[in-house]
Amino acid sequence: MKLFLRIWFVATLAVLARGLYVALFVVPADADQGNIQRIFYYHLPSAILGLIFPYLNFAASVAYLALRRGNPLAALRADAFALATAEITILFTTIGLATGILWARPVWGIWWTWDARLTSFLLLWLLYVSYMMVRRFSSTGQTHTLAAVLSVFAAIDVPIVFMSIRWWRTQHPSPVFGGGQGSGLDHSMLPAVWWNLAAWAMWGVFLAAARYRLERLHQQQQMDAALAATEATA
Amino acid sequence: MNPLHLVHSANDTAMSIRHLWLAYALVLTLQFGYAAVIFRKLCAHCKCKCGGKER
Amino acid sequence: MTYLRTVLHHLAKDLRLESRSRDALNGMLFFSLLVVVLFSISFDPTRAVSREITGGILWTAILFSTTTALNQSWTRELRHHSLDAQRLAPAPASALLLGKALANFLLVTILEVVLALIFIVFYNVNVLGNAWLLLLVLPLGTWSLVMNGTFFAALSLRTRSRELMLPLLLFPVSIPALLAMVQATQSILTADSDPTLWIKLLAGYCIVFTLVCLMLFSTVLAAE
Repeated sequence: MKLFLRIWFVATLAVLARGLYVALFVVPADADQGNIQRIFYYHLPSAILGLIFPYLNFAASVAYLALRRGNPLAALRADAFALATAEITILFTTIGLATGILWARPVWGIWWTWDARLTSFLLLWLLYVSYMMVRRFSSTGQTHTLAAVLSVFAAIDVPIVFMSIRWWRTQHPSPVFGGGQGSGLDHSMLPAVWWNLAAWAMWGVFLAAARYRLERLHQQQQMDAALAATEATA
Repeated sequence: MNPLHLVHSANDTAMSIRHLWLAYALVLTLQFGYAAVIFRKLCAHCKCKCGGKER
Repeated sequence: MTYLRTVLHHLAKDLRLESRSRDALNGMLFFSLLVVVLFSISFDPTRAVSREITGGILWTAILFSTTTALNQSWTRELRHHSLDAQRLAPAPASALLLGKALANFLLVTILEVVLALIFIVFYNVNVLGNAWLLLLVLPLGTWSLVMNGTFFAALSLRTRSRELMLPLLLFPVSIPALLAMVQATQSILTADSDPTLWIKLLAGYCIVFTLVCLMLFSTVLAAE
């Protein structure tokens, strides 16, 4: 298992390096925007992964809620996975927001706009930050359950936010800034997109595995400590 | 400020190149920073179990 | 039938407790009065501008006042181990949530009646559209805030920074509802657009989240 992880890590680094090289040196600069468009090759994977990991978190949370009475050990594994994917969600959504904002200022002339996609993405970030705060601030016995419940709320809420704001924007359209970043993508730019999408996806999987392992070690430590405490009093 | 001499484009401004580098630096810092934190903790566990002194 | 009776028991209990001290109600009234006056001083709106901004200010005032009152409604359950007793009781947990939510709903409605009068006086607001629709928007909006708020107040009950957790959890989840209630109120007051879609969105939101809260409450109550 360890060997596989090491191979995966090396492969990921290789793909990341290739992706960086292709994004900066191989593909041409955008005809309208210039070199700033290269942000897109890091922005797109982050945004996509920022939407995939929360639903992995949701699945793990539901699994936790379903398993906690019947199969507590499996439930703990589900919870460890939920925590790992939640942190990685925050990582990718932070990067997605930051790169988007940095791109928007030179290209659109504004840092931010309240359209459906941006607002629901910001909301996703807010919800997962509050998820981490619930985990940090709640008392030990309850943490897993409360966080899982919040995850369910987040999963339901984000699509609703997206639809409601899109609806709002069709009532009162905001100025359209030329169709967004994806629309101007020439075939010559696709290699950068694919390499970086693959690279960051591999990286995300790698981080999730590492964080999961760390959390499992913590859980094991806690269980050992609890056992020692029980035996000491017996 | 275009240190790596990217493919030149007439539409580049100082701000856009600055933001480009900022964005790439930010992504790499955040991603590798997070990974470093995780691995430091993982290695601490390893040392404890495999050969280091008892904590 | 017993479910309904249980809900009414909880409702009566909460209202009785509130009527004895009137802590939450007084706190809410005073807080929202402050908010209204502060906004009025900051913006000093004309009559036309008032109609545009009343929706946003009204719902902001209600949201913040409700948040201050919600935590209180659960902390009273912690005294004398009442919450533990509730957990052990065979009555369905969701009835407790529903009863409490209804009690909070009635309190916030009292607040809204007072606020509406204050707005008419301080902002010189008059309704250009169909005023009866407001009787639909106000309860729906209030219910969406109170239902989610009561649920999240219960969820944050045993967390360390209770006062911080509730707004942190409630505000992001409530954004679609807030958008709908503010837009609906504004379009009714200004008669600039049709509020129907917003009212439908608000109703849909209420139904979805009421169901989700009721279903998940026993999980939260028994979380230890």
